[in-house]
Amino acid sequence: MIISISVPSKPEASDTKAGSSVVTPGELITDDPTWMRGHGTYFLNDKTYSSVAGTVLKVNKLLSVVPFKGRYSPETGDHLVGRIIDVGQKRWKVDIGGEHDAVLMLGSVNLPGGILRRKSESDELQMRNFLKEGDLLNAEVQSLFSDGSASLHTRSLKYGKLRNGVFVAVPSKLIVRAKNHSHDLPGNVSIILGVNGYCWIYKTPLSSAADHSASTAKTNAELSSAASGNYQPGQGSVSITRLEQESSWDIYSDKNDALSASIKDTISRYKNCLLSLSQCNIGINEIRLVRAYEISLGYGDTNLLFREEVRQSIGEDVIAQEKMRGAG
Amino acid sequence: MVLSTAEKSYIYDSLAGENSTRTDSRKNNEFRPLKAVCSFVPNCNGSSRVYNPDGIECITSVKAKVIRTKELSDLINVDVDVEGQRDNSTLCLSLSAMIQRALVNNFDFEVLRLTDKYYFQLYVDILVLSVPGDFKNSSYTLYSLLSLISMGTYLALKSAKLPLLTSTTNDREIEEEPSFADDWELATDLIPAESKFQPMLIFVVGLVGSNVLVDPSLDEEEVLESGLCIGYCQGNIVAPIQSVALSTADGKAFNRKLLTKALETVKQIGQPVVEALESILNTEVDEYGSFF
Repeated sequence: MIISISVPSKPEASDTKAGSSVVTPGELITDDPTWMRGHGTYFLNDKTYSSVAGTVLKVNKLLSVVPFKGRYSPETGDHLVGRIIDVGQKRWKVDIGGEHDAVLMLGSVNLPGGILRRKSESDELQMRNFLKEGDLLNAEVQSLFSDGSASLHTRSLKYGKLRNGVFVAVPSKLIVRAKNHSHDLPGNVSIILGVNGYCWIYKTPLSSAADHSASTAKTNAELSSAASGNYQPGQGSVSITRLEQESSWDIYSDKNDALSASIKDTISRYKNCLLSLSQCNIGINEIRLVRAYEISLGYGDTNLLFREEVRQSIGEDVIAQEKMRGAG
Repeated sequence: MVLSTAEKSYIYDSLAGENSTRTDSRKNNEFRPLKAVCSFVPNCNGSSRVYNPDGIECITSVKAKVIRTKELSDLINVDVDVEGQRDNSTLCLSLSAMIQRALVNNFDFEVLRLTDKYYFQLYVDILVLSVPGDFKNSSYTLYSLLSLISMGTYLALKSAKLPLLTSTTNDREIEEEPSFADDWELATDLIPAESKFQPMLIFVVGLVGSNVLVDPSLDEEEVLESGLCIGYCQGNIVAPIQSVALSTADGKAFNRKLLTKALETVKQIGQPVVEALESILNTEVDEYGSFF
């Protein structure tokens, strides 16, 4: 099929139930002045109106409206994917899909040479060699400013520049907050589901696959060495040694590894699954994504998956499976 | 959106190879799914609205006016307005000029003729909405919209209705102005069903490596080596055949064989696109019925 053109679907007329908590901008929520007014509301002549389209949330005496759609608002500790849009004085400006651009200070990144290195003027001058406009990175929100904009940091080995994959943006509302936002998926592919809705699907790095066995081997070795009694200082401090080993210039490299056609195919399959879930407005987490992937394998060739009806039916299948198996 | 170096090389490597895989896993000759409706603006002779999954929307209206002229090329006026761009920006002016020239060169002016002296003059107004917010600092250009705009123009022209001519046409030399019926129920199609004439379409294809990509998406545009726009009218390749800059990043020259391949691809995809557009024209539009 070369092209499909369809008539846009009309909004379905639904029966508005009495007491439905869905409100539209400008709709009167209450004329009782005792309510405290939270986000998404405004107050005019002792009456509270909604300023966004969403559902009404009442907590004790606090009245707020949770919008259906909207820009991401960062919170401390969120794992994000962002794109550098500007290089400035000792800081990068990062697009995170929020109301404000986030900042990443030169002081909050790992520089080649390890954690104990001091930042010098030459680092300031060569900031573009680390991260330049357009570069994608994953980071954590370190703190928030009073206007709601975020300050990021990448001071961990799991954060940093992104390579070997594709970028997908979905609405941030759909990402289910979880303990962990980076996952290794079946098919030798990993994903970072940024809380801001920006996702990165990439080839699972070799070290991460080998990591598991290596770390168990190491603990065994440590155990045996501990048993034999010759303990060396700094033996248990794996992270610092690894950081020093790995934070060479490689962490800021722009070169992709060699990627086989099958890995690329799997990546684009996952991308389509992610977009299917997003098209059907299903909250996205690792389990659902893997289920969508398994379902999509049943549809055969990857290049059928960009079709709208296929995406719709993948989404429906995920929901149906979840109902059958339970959410677990 | 500016892509990172790693993304660019990933996309380029996927596209340029022998077995190219596009980022959205389409085949090289496939379009993204489009949405379209026509005749939804009540005060125009014909109108259409087409939008693609990037969210870019193209609203086209056709209005007709009776004028006395001999100059056939005056009969079609095209005006493209892109959201966030000044009216006299290079993008708007060159899109308008390209569409206008392409339409004038491939138009059957017989359908606009009333008498020897009087003709319908068509004003085709095109409005492009929901241009991505990051367009200003990205390296893609919006010339790929030519394809979307020409589909919108096709639908608007094909759905255009004109009032029924009541004055006599027997004597084509007559001086007085033609007169029309007041009743819109009697309106006739601008392009009658029995006429073989079809408005022309413009396709934009991207060239990368030894591959020809139909309907390049915005992230693909940033890595393409060059782009071509190719006209298609009633089964034939027509002017314009020219290269368009799909991105401001450095392009490359392309092989002559690739041009032949691109022309063949357009010949192949032309008919299915026309059929898909015709099926939209044949769907009853009840845009207001559902609300009132």
